[in-house]
Amino acid sequence: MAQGLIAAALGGFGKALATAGEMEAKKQNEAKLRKELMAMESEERLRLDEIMHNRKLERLPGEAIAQAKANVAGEVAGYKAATETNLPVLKADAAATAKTLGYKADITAGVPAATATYEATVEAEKYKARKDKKVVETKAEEEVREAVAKLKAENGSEKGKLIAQQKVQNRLAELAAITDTKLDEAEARAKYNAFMTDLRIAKELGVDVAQAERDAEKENARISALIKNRVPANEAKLANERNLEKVRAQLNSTIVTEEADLLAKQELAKVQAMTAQGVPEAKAKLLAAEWKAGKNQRDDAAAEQTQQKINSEIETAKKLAGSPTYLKDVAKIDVAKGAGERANAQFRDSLRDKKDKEELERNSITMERQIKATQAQMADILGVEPKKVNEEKAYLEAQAASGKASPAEQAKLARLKPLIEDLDALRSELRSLQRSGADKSSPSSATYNYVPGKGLQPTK
Amino acid sequence: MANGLIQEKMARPEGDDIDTETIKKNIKMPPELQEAYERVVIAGMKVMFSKESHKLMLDELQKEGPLGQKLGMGIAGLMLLLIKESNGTIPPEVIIPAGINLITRAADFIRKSKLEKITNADIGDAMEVMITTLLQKFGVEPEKLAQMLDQFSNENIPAEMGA
Repeated sequence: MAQGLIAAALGGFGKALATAGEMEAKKQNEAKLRKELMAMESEERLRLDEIMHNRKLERLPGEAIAQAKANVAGEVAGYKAATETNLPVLKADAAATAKTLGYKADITAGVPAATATYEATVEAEKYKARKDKKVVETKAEEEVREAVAKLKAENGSEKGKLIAQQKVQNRLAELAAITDTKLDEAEARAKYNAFMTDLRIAKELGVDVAQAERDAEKENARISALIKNRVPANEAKLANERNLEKVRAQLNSTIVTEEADLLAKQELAKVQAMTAQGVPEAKAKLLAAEWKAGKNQRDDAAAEQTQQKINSEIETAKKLAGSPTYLKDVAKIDVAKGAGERANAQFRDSLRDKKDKEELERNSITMERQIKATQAQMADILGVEPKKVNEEKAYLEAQAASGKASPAEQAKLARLKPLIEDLDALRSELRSLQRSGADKSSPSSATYNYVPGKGLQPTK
Repeated sequence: MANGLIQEKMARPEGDDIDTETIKKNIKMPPELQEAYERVVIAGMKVMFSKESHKLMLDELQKEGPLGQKLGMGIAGLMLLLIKESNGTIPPEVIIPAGINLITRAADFIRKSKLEKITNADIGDAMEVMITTLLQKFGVEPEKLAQMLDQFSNENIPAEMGA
């Protein structure tokens, strides 16, 4: 029974377990299926999203272009309306700037750049054309209206008329002042526009501007021709430099003429100054011409030297005028001066000769004394009287030559040798001195001293 | 009595008829100073128009400022240079007349080269500036200037040309 119970329990449990298992499996399957289903649905949604996204992407540029075109058309219409309703230039500028920003935004939003750029270019050209003509004129008209109103308001219209008339004349004078050397095209145009503005103001006020208009037309034609025939700036600069150089060279050449005139006048003045003092005319002319030649050659030193000659001539002439024997006196003075100089020279020569002679004598005596002293020294060495020195010397030399000389005799000869040489030198110098006599250029005229072992040495 | 270098009958300020010839005719130097005067003028012209130093003149004229002022200062500078270079050997009496002559030479250059439009008034201003500058350099009191100008005009400008 227990087994049965257990079995039954086990069976029941088994069945329950089986049922539970089945249910669990079923749940799991269902969950799996749901998951799969959800995944499928999710994928489908994603695909749909993608498709939608792609479609949007495809559709968007078309819409954007259409929108941009609509914007441009709107802007153009607005711009046209603005310009046609006399919108001032500044406002038109602001509108154009806003439009440009719009184009940039379109390009950023995906409008093909080429389309936007094309549109922008077309509009920019239209705008430029409008600005150059209509808008400028519009602004000018606006200014004219304002100015007219102001002038009318100012102390009655008569004063305003006069002011306007004066302004027109001033503007006309400004136009007339435009010359080819001071031509600036932009400035010229601005001046012309300013003239036209003042002209309209004057017209509005009832001033008679017919003549001014005619003058302005002429000026306009003249300035236009100047602009047309204008030479480039660098060419103008070169032409200007060439012109300056031409004028400089012209004026420089006048210096030569004026200097020549001045020199001619100075030459004449010098001739007159010299002849007035009695210098012969031919000589005066020669000196003056010499002076002028120095000046012409820019040799101021030579001209100055000639001027000294001229002064000297004038001085001489003045003295001659005071003393007819002046020249003779001068000659006498010269002669006397020469004779004096010659006497002085002779005296100087004689003094020098006397001195030389004394010196010569002094030298001869000194040398003779030195010769005697040397001979005395030799006699002492040989132990004989001075008169027998030569005889004893000859004996000793013969002994030495035959090889019979004793050591004492050889020693005597050795001591004699330098003295003999000195004696020969002294005698030779004495002879030379006596021969040269009064020859002042000879070295013998100098004073000498005998120096033992060195012979004759000149005194310092 | 004359009261200025440019006289009423001599030239109108807005005119442009004062030139070297007019001045040469109207400046009467004592005979003993004539040569020195001409030498100074020639020396000044050499500085102004020789190729080597002409640029100095052009530079001076192309500076900013009224033409008369530039011209007067430029010629005053030139005269001081000549005085210095001559080691003071230029007779003082010829300095102002020679300067005036040189102003008209420079004016001729400006006129012929069309460098600028130059009127008699510009030349008159230049003369005044030059004379004032030179006299101040030489230590002449400004109040004596008018007196000297009168004296100069009386001595050098013929009566029929004066006021």
